[in-house]
Amino acid sequence: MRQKFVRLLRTGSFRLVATYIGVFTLSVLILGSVIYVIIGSQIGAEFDERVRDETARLVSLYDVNGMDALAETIRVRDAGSLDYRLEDAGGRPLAGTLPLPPIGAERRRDGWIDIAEPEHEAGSERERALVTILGNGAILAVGQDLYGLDGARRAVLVAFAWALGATLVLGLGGGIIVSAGFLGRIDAMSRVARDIMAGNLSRRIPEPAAHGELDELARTLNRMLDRIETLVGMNLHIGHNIAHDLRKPLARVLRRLETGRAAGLFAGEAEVAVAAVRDDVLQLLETFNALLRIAEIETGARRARFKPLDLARIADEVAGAFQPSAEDAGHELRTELADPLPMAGDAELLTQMVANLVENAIRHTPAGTTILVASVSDGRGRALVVSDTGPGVPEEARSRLFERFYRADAARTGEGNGLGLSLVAAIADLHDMRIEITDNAPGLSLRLDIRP
Amino acid sequence: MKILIVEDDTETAAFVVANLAASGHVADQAASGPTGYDLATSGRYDVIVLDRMLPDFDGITLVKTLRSAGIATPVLFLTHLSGIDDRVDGLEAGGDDYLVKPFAIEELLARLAALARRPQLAGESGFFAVADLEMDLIRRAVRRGGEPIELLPREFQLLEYLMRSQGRIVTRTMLLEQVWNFHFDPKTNIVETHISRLRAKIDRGRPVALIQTLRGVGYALREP
Repeated sequence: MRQKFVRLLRTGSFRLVATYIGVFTLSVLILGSVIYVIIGSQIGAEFDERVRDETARLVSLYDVNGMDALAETIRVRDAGSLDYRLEDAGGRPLAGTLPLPPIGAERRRDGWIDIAEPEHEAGSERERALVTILGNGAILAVGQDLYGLDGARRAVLVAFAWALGATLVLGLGGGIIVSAGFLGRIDAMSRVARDIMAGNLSRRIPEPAAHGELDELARTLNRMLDRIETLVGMNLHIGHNIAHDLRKPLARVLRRLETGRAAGLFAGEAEVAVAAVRDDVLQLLETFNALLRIAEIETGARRARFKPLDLARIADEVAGAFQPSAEDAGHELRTELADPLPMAGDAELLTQMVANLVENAIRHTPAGTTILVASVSDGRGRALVVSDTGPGVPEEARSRLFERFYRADAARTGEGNGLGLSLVAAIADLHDMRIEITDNAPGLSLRLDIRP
Repeated sequence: MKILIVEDDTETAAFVVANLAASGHVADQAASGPTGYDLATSGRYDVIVLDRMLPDFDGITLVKTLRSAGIATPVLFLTHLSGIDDRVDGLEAGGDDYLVKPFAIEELLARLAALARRPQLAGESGFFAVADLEMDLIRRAVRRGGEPIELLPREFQLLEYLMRSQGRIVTRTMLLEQVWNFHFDPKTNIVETHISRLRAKIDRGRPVALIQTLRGVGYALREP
């Protein structure tokens, strides 16, 4: 489950959605900040304007009616929304409840001051007041609790926090849902593809009637699969027909020779010639069989019948079968197959593959060569290695070893049909195994890596 | 042996019938599926030779029908189809052996003989004997003339198969298939080398050679 989630996060569609959400969130953030600042300064300006107007009114009242009238007016108005304070030049309070901080060493000056944490009212923690020094040295302060401003600011903050949160949740949630849907379809396609590779050529990707890109892709892939199935079918059909049409006349040739020989029709040189013809025909049939077998393997249909097995055990049996023959030819055939090589495959084909490799080594090396069949488990994974200490193969020729009918040793034309290693390559390919040929210093080393 | 051949290729059929007759067997031929089926269900045959690709009938279907009709006569498929799946399908359908054309007539005869006879049973004690050669499957012991003989596992397997087929000819291909499970033909003659190793232990120094080589055909374990 966790792994599925991680995969989802990696999909292109989720990344796209995440990017959009990121951009959108950023916009919301910027917008929110701007509005926050504007509102703050706007309301602040209005608050200040109010305080300034009131201060101006009070100053002209003082100018006209004097200190007592001012003090009286303040006492009445103090109960309202604004806060006032009137002090004499010495700092003694005359009227008002504005919590002006006590004068310390500093003298009061004209100007704005911000007062923090007044204790007189439940509400905001801040007060902003305008101090004016009157003509007689008295100090007038008019101020306002910033509760309203702070409240407005907090409202904006909360609103935008909710907006941000909603954007993120809805966006990411939506992204996950969309991606899951997308991923689901991709997964379905992958499953079908894997099924087909396993030999089930008739499977198809589900095709909804819609016309999105994925739907078009599904349709196109299915057309492609139809074509492939037709071609493979044709291949098999041709294979079957060749099997019949080519083998029949060859079989007839052999029979005629056989019948002639049994009837004593060939004598002396004729008999020798007939025996040679028979061998040639058999050779032809063998080459033909090998080609058919390679073609059959290359269709991949065998994958559908793969079973779990241990390649090391198969190699052991093959090595055991060839041991006496190798000995008779003066070779030493050794095995180091303690490490198991578990994999899924076709036991028959793998047996033939290993046999071809061992035979190849025996045939192309002189007496005294050591041939080793080993299973290895190293940093690269598990692999089967067949190596010899013979003359080896020059580097340029190594890559061509698996070509059909290629012979590294041009002098040898009599033995075999040059298809042994092609068959090995076809079988290895069917099992998804990688072949690597290296210099065994001296000799040749063939490594077959098993795909994990 | 009484053999039924269901084969539409008249040349092959004639060839096989003639050779069977020359070996002292009786052979009937059917050139089409329905005729072949009718003859097969009569149950008179020791073994049936069946072509997989008959013009009007699929050999696989024929075998399946035979088997569901309760006919247990051994069936050998004779066919041009050499695919692995073709063989597996044939055997899974109820066939007992599979031979690809073209074939050597000796191969066919040896396999028919193997199919027609009951496999040599070891009896309750798991014990085989040919002349003074004894084989105990349960104790995994081999003796000749009372003397124990040490065999490697594969040599033991090889001897066991020869014992079970004693008196009959077994071809190289049959040995490759039954003892080594090789369904291909290695160029190297591993069968010959293993047989000679076995011979060295069983027959060398003895007055009577029990493992016989029949050139061009195969081997047999029997008294000469």
